[in-house]
Amino acid sequence: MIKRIATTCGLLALSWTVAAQQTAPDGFKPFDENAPRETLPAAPLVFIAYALAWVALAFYAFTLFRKVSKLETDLAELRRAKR
Amino acid sequence: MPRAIPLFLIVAAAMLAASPFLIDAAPPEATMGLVQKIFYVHLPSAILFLVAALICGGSSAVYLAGGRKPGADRAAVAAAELAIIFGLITIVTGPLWGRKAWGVWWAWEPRLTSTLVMWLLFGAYSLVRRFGGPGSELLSAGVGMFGMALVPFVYWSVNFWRTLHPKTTVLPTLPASMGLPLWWSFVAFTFLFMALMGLRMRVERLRAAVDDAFADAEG
Repeated sequence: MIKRIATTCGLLALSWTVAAQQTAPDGFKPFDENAPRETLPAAPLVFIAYALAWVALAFYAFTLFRKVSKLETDLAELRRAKR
Repeated sequence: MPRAIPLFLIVAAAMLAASPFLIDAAPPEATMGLVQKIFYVHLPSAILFLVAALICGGSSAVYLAGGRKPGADRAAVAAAELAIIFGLITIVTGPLWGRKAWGVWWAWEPRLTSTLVMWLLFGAYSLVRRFGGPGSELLSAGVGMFGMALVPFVYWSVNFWRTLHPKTTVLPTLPASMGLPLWWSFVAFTFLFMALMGLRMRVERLRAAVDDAFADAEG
């Protein structure tokens, strides 16, 4: 029982120490109109989105055509070997 | 090769080549500006991701309940792979749009999270299929049906829960100037989807034929 109470007290003390180390904000500051703001350009994002989509689809179509062509060759060879 | 596949590919390529001009002519959205133009690639790929999931689940159900027909299995495999491709495009283009519109690349909100879960499920389908060994077609069919069951949750998640993502009511209210490039892009993507589906099914058909021919040659 005493051991449990001691462990609980120890954990509480540890959490209090950690919380005390975190510095609280000094307070609210008024919004500064001239402060630098994040200005993310949209054009590169749009370009990347379209490029990725088209490249992914073109690459997938290319790999499928290659697979079809290879399998057709394999099938023709196997049929020729059978004869 | 069926004549429809190259025909669909040519139509899709021609329409996709013309789409930048239509998208450029569409007005930028009032609050989001230029970045909203990602919509014209994001939405068609997202719809086709859901369509692929429905085809995979439906074909899997036919395969399990309809006497293990290989055609149904081939359609399920092809649709699962297309779900991964179109899902990937959706999941990549969405954050590119969201970074500018919402200020974050990703948010763990219902639409995005359910879409990611569904995409991972089709990834699981393909992994089961590739590494599952004999009998994996039955197990993957079950996974495909589970993936199909997620489609309504993904689609209506924006209406059921509070979310950052635009609701499904955006489409009917779209002005014609934005609707034309959207539906143009959607039709182009659909032609491409059909061509890729046909090609992927052909790969499966040829693989089965090669396996049979090899077994004949060995036996």
